[in-house]
Amino acid sequence: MTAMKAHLMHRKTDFDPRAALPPQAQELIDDLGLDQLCTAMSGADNDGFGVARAALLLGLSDPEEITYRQDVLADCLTHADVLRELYALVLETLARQRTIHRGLFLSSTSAILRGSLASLHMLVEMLVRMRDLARANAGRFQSEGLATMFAMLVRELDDAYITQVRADIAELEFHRGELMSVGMGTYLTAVGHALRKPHVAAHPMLDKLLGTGVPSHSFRIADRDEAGGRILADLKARGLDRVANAVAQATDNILAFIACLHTEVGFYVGCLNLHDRLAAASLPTCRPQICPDSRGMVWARGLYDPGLCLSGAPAVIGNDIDAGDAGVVVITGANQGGKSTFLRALGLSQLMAQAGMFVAADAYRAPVRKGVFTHFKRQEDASMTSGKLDEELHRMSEIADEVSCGAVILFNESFSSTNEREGSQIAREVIRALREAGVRIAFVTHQYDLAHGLQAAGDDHTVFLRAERSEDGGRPFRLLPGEPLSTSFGPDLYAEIFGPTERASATLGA
Amino acid sequence: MRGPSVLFRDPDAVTLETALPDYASDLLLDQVIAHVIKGADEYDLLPYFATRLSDVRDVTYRQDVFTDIQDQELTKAFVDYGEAMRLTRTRLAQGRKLYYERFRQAWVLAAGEAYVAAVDGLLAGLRATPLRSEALQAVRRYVSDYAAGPVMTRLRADSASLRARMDAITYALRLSGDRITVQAYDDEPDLGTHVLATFEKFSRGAAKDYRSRTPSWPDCNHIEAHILDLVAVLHPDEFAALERFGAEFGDVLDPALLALERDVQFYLVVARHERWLEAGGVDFTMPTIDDRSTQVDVRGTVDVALADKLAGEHRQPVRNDVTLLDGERIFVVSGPNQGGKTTFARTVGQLFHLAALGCRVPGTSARLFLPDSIHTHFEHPEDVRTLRGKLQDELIRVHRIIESSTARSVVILNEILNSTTLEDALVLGTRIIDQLIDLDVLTVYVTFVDELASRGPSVVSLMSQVEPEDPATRTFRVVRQPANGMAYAAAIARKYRVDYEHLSRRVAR
Repeated sequence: MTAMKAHLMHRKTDFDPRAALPPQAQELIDDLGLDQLCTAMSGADNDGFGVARAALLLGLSDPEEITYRQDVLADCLTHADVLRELYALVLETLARQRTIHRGLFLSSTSAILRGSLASLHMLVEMLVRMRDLARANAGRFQSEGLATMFAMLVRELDDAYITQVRADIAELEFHRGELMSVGMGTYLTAVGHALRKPHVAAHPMLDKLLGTGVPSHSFRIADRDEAGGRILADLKARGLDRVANAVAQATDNILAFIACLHTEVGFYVGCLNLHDRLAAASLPTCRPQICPDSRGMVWARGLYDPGLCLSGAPAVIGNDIDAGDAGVVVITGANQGGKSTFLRALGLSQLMAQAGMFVAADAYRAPVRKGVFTHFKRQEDASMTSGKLDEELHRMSEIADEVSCGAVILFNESFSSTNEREGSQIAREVIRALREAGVRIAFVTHQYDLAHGLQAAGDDHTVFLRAERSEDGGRPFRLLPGEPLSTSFGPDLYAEIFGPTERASATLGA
Repeated sequence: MRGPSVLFRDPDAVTLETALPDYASDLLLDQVIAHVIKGADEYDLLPYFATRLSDVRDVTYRQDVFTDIQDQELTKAFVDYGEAMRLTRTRLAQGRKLYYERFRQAWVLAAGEAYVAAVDGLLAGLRATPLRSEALQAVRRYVSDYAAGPVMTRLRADSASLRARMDAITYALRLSGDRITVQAYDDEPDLGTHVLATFEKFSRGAAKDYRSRTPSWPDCNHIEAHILDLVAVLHPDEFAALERFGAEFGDVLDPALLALERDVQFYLVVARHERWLEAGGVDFTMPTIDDRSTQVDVRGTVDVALADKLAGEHRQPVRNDVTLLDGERIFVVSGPNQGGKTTFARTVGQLFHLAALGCRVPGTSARLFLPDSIHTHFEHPEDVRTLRGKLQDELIRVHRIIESSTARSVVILNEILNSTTLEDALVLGTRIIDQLIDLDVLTVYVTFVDELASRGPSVVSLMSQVEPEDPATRTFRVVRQPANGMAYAAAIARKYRVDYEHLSRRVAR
């Protein structure tokens, strides 16, 4: 059982960044702008990018596990410098390891031993520095994950242990293959060559003179006996074999531990990076509250899409949403009114919350989801093998294969690639079926027929938001509770593009 | 002491044939037997397949062993026994090739261990199964006595204790420069284990194995030999014991057990072949040998050579019956070409040979007798002699067959007189079949001359069958039916619309 663990992301297991992603992973990446977020977290580190992505897509479903991570994250935010210093040590270790030739491909016993000893030398030095960092900061960390890990480093890598390891390495480095034990095989061939640590004789010279050492007999390989010389070299290698194997395995194991640190500490450093970017733009972040019993969608204040900040938008607006009991959220309103952005904010916040991260909002409350799905508009099918509606329905079918009660689907202008009557009808049925199955829905649409129909049904569990239009036609991109209106402010845009002299009158329809 | 034979009640009374009888190639038995004994070349089993038994009691002796061998555990015990004996011989041979005396002795010890395992294993196997056959019961008694006897007792004890003593030897090698020192092992701690313990806290379960794959050295070299000599100085008693063992083991292998090993292979290879065919759907049955009559009744049988070939393609041959009751003696087989007539003829010959070896035969039930001789004459179309020469050879051959046959023989004539004129075939064929009728010898006579089929009351007419709706398709069933000459030809012509009515309409005037 290994004692050297870095369980920062799960209480009892290592985090596996290579676990299989959910089938809708690519859609989520494309529609929610996940790559931009992950790049902001990981910087230039390829591995970090993969870890961030995996963490966001492989969300946790156990509220206790989420709390575990949130606690670690809180510690990291408070003691960011220590985290970053630890991460720097990990990166230095990996960089130095890359320059050491382990000799594994030569498959020569002595090359393997030499290479692994070189690695071990360096690894022990780096582990000591990590341990010293842990010692200096003992007691400052509150979260179970970090407190346990630092305590483990201090305890397992104490001075006595390090001294012994160093002594063992030194012994192996200077060993000349002097002494090995050998057993008798079935045909009296030599088996089980094992390198031994010679007893230190109290008076070796005396033993030799008086012959009081163990009984021994020796012979020399003749000078011209080339075959004999080769056999002798092989004998030496056999003796080293088991030891070389042990040392190589030990090196592998330590490197595996370092890799775990790289993954898990790297994840939190990524969170720190993202946090710093948002804070620098004076945007709020909060610790989400997980409410497992909720039947609704989400309750939030000041919820925004962090992607906007990362792509350099000048002003990022947050929105409020009261859908704690509502399973369906319908969003209508002005074109370019911030509806898609809000949908992204909903999606990203849910992923971040379930990854144990902070959320881009002032305050946030949501249940645990059984999966987040997106159904966004696509470009025309370039191969023209299927019509657009075809393509949309095909995608809907694929989602239907995976979705279950408790999941959430974000629809962005879905089923609009046909006339409004047909599209609304399709959408109505889809929504009805999903709702009855317990799937949560956020639906952005400009189809008045659909939105109005849903509203007229008078269901308590549906919330309507509308992208706000100011009196002068400008757009502050705010979403407020409001019933759907029958125009979608196309005239505003028309006017914008075609010039003020063509200002649309209120009678122009959709 | 001569041990019991599992193949013959009285081995001294037997003269083994060294080659298969000349009818074996006509019946394709040579191919089948070659397939059966493939892989067992070192045992030279061919004579056992070439020598027919002539006494019903000898046949029953073997049939009972076959019945016992049905038990999979017993078969496995014999297979393991063969392997262990082969291992013993291999180890002895390997040792003799070695240059260094001590290594040779080591191989002798290993051979001794294999031999003990062979004998003890065989006895355990024989004791674990209920045995019905007289042969195997005798074998069990013999092996039991031998295993408990003085030679084996001594060998068992000596080899075990010597092995234990040799295994317990651990010595130490000190290498520095070009000097090798052999010394007593003083319990120095193992560095490899020590390293593993130090880094135990980092271990994560399965780890990659970096140990080199070099095996133990097959040819012992002069350095190892020298080291071993020095080890012998440190442990003189053990090596002296090894030397004594090597000298005494010598020719301790019991000849009766060696003979048993060989003889039992006969049953093992036949059983293995049967199982293979059975897996493909062929049934086997233990024939009842009734030497008081020359009646024959075999149901659902197949040509075993054809079955062999088809089994490789996951198919089975069509089944037929071979029945001659009361005064019936001669089958005249006619019908369309390639319809299964030759196959039928072979099947009959095979049945008699296989039954006379004590084996099971294909079929669901079988009643046969042991013929005093089996004669075949199959036409070989590729013979390039002149037609007159060919006819002459055929007649000489048939004459010889008739001269040497009795009422207890079996004669198989396949498509003789094919290359003569129809008139000759009719006249000569009638004369030949009359002689066969007089001899009252069991005959299979394959021919296109329909008239022969109704030559007398002891003649049975068989025809190879075709599908009624599609006369171009053979069913390969051969059944009793009066020979009806060319009736099928008319149906085929209709199918291709070249019968008279169609053809006259089709051909333009």
